[in-house]
Amino acid sequence: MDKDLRIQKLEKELEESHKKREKLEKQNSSYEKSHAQLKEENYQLKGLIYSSTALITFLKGPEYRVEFANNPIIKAWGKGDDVIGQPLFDVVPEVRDQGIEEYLNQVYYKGEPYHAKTLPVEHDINGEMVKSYFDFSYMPQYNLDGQIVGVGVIAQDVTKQALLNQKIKKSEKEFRGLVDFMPHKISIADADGNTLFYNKSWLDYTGMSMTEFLESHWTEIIHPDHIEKVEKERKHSLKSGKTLDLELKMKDKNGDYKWHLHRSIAMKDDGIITSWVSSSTEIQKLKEEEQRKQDFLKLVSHELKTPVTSIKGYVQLLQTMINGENDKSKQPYLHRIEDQVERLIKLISEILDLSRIEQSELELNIEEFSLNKHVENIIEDISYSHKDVQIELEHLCECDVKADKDRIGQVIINFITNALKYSPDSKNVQVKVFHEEENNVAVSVKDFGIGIEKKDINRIFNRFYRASSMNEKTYSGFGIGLYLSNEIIERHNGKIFVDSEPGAGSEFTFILPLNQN
Amino acid sequence: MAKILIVDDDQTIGFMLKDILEFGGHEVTVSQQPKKTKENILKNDIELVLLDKLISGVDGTDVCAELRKDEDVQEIPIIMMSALHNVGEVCKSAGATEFIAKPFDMETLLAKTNEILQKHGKTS
Repeated sequence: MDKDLRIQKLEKELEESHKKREKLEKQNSSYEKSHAQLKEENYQLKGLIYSSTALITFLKGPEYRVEFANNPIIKAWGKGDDVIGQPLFDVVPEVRDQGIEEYLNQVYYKGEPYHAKTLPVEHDINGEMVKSYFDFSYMPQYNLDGQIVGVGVIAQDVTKQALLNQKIKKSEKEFRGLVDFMPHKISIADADGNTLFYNKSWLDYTGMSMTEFLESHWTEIIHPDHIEKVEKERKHSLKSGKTLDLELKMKDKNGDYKWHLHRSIAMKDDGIITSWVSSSTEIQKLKEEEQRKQDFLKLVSHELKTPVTSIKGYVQLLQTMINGENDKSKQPYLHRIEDQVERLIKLISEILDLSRIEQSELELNIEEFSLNKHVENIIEDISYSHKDVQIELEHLCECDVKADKDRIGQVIINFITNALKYSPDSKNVQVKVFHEEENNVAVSVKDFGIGIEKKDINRIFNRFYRASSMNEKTYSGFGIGLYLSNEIIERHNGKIFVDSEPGAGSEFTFILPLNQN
Repeated sequence: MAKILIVDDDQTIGFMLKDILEFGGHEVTVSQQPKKTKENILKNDIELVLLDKLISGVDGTDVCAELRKDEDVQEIPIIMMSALHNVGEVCKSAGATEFIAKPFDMETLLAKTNEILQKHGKTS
């Protein structure tokens, strides 16, 4: 029995031992499994940290030895993989005095995390200090006993954004300076037309502070006569997004209304109005000049018409009287006088037409005529009244043109009378009719007079420009002849130009196209 | 044949008009003083007035309007003249019978004068 019992006992023990072994084996396999799991997790975490674009490092101990650093931070330091295990301030000594040590100490010794935004840090990259901007997080790292063993650093390079922000700020400052510096009145309003900003010129003009002006209603400074018109156009622009463009009178700080040219333009984002930018330019002087000009033209026209009226009256009276006589020999002379008076009247009317011409309202009466004959007749007329001059005419071509005969005549007369006027010593003028190119015809008038200075050549076709000499009164005329000529030729789609040499003379030419309808 | 008064501060124009109208068979008085127009009309038995619009210091339309208000002379026909082309309406609304722009044709002047005189002669 004893033996059996013992065997039984041994078998039981063996079974238990088996069970224990199995248990142990099971345990062992589970340990192995979790170890592998841990290893995998560690690998994944490291991968995450390494592949992160964030700058990550772990600094161990009071010397802040680089226990771990990912590529981005090594690159930012401008160093290689050999930094691992070295104290931070051996790796990047230049950052110690840039406040970094203080931040680290604060974290390491006090356990307070530290965060910084857009912190500028200069790194020594191959001997050159390179400034970059970072968002920083310094976190204390603990061991299992809860003691601080190092500092974890996560940083983001925000240099690009920081530089862009700086650029925007600089640009904004410059534009603000520009807007305040210029004499124009500039304002910015929201999409509904509520003004948000007035520049310095506006505040100077109104004598109001920014707050006062912004709180006032925009109609307060507008001339009562103009409010209705402005309100209407403003509404239309706000609704349609079309540029507002008008002239109006606005009150200055002394209560005087002055003319302004006002423009508002919509700023759009994806077709939607986001704001309005406006500018007002004072045009008071311009308006006054315009008025003076109109008054002057009226006066000139009136003053010239008075003597012409009585000349014409007497010429017609004489004609009527002579018509009753048997001797008809005097009639042609009176005719000529009457023709010239008519021409004079026409010229006087043209002074009044000036403003019309400027607004592109010059009307042309197009007819077909022989340019050669026309030039001939004009020269004959001029020679008749200028006995002492010699006008040579050369026809290099025979040509009919479709044009306004009177206006073209006016240009030719202007050229020839100018040639005579500015040739005090030589009374020789050469006129040519020729093809400048196959499909056009040109008339040129050459004189041997005082010529034109180079600096004046581009100005002679300007309105009211007159050749000046030592004595301003040497040459008569309004200074509108060439301006009118230029306008007339331009309306005919032609060209007008001048060659000149001071002291040697000038040659004026106009060209008319032949193939125009 | 009528008695005509010319009011124009420019003597040349005044004389020219006088010569032409006298050639046309009329009897003409020339005055450079617009303020004496009424006096001149009554004194000379005037049947037609030729009145310049821009007389030194005076606007012809004011003279015209005043004559129109005055019972003694309000029926008299007035031809206003000006070197400005676009003032015809202004003159007519001041009461002018007719407007002539300077410079004018002798024939036009005589024709208009006779036409107005005839009309006036018929209606009055």
